[in-house]
Amino acid sequence: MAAFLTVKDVTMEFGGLKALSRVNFEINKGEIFGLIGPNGAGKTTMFNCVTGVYTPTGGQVSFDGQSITGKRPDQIVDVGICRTFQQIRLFPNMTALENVFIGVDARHQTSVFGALFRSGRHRREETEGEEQALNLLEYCGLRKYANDLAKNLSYGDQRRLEIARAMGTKPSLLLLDEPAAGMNPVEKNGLRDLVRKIRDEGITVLLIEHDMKVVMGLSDRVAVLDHGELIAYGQPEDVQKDPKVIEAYLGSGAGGQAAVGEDDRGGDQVGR
Amino acid sequence: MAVVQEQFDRVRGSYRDWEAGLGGPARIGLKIARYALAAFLMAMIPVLMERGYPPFSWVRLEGFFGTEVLFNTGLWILLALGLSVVVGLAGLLDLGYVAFFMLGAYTVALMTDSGNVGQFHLVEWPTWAALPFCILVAMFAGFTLGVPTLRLRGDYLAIVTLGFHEIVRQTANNLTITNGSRGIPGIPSPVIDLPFLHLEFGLETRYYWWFLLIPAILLAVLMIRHLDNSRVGRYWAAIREDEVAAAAMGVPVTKMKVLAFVIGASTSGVAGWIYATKISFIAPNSFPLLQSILVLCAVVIGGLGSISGAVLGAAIVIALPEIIREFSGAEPVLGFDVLTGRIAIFGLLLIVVMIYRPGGLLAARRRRTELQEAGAAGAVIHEEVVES
Repeated sequence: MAAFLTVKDVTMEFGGLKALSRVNFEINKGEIFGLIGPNGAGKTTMFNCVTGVYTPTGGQVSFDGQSITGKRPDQIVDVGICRTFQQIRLFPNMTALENVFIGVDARHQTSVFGALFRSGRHRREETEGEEQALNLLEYCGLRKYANDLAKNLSYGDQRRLEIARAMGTKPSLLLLDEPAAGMNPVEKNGLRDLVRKIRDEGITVLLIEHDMKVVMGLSDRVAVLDHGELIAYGQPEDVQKDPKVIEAYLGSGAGGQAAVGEDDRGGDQVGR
Repeated sequence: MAVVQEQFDRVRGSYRDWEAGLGGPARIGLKIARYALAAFLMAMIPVLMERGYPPFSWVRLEGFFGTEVLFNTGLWILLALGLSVVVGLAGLLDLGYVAFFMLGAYTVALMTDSGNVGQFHLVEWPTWAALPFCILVAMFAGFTLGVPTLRLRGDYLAIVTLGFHEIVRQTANNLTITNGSRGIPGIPSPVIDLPFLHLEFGLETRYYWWFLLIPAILLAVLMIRHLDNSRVGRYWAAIREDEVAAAAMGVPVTKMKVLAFVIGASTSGVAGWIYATKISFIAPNSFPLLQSILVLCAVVIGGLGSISGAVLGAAIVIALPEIIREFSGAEPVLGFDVLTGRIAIFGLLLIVVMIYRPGGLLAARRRRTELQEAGAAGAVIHEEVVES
């Protein structure tokens, strides 16, 4: 199967700092792909390179057979890639519905003149867009907050609203940047179900996550970054046992299973 | 005050819901009726002024003087509406807005026959024919200012736009074709010459310019409302709230910012045409930098992002000093000369308004919530952290 997203030799330098050096991986259509690594490993930089926030200083990113290196963020959305943010970046003073509407608008065609003269397309897109946005809120379990301002939603709900907004752009590849950060175990379970549901719709998911339980349970394959370099890549079970990964996370000499085990236990305790 | 505002929003909201539920023809009919009513009420103002009726007699806006103040107010409403698109809707701080106004005025001056020997004219067209070009020139200037300054934000953009105003003014001041600082006199007034209607705009018929301003203002309001309540308006709001997130959601940030500049400039092109043809003389000194600041004042006092706010703000900024002037007696009050100190009183009022209603007198709902938490999304430095 041809790869859906191909990251080839991507390098990102900020002055002397090499945030990413020659990173290679491929994502297949329809899978959940986990991107993990310790803090400062370059995961979010990778996201920014894929979504056009940064233009990589070297290498190529291609999506569905075409190169998307150096495209603007809005052009990346047009080809079908959308993302969420690690630090929540909703439009805080707009309602939940309006937030999702912005996402939905990405697929709308109304021009300035259409809006000025209230064309048929404008009216149709306004009604359909609102319906779609409401459906997406329902889909993410946020229907009851439709008219609340985004900033008044709880932390977990804001994270899900980000997903709903990104889903509004009808992506075929969805990039989630630490969607479970700051969530309690119940919310994390809900999120896992949501991500699976999104995948079952045929949307490929690229996931950055710190919570090992979430990422290992969800991902079909994972890639591990450390200091801007890809140190492991493959099935979650294999990657977990990889000595380089264990060293990156715990320093040399520690046991890999301990890391995952500890995380599991911690999560369960709060859950009970 | 907040309670009143809430109630007002609630009533307006339920009215809008009711109106949205109406069928197509009924809704359009209602809209036409609303604008026709507004036009009628606006047309009545000079009639009431001329005869010295309240409420204008209360503030001593009467006769010739009243009509002049009315004209100026209308002109500034048009300017404030345009600027409110740039500053209020798209959130781009523009301190040189009057440059577009000036370009509109100079365009009509150079395209019509002023009757002065030796004055350069591009073409010698009737006054009306120049109107579309005034709009186009202003819009094109908005485009040329917009494109290179897109990457700038906040303070930096403000400084560049400030410079833009001075560039335009100094260019007019130094070019031979604009007659330098001496300006261009004798710009012909428009004439309406139809089979059933003959109107000559002149000193004796000074109302006519107000009647020109009425459709201009209403069209501008209609245009801005339509844009605001559409995909375009949502995009502007998204850019204002968080530019990086907006881009990541597919908003073509660059295009939308340029569009805000272009749309904003269009009303000042019309205003420039009206101003130049009424005053019939323009010079670089007719457009000092202070005017750009005053338009911004009007927008901010009225309420950023609010159309009714822009109208009210312009009315206050222009009419209030004149009203204070009318109330100043010959004798100083407590040793303070009200006539010469009226601008100081005006400034004081502005400060008071900004302290007690930082969102402006008629703030838009979204802007109100933005200001409630000062330093929230808008103030965040939009730098992506490499990794946190």
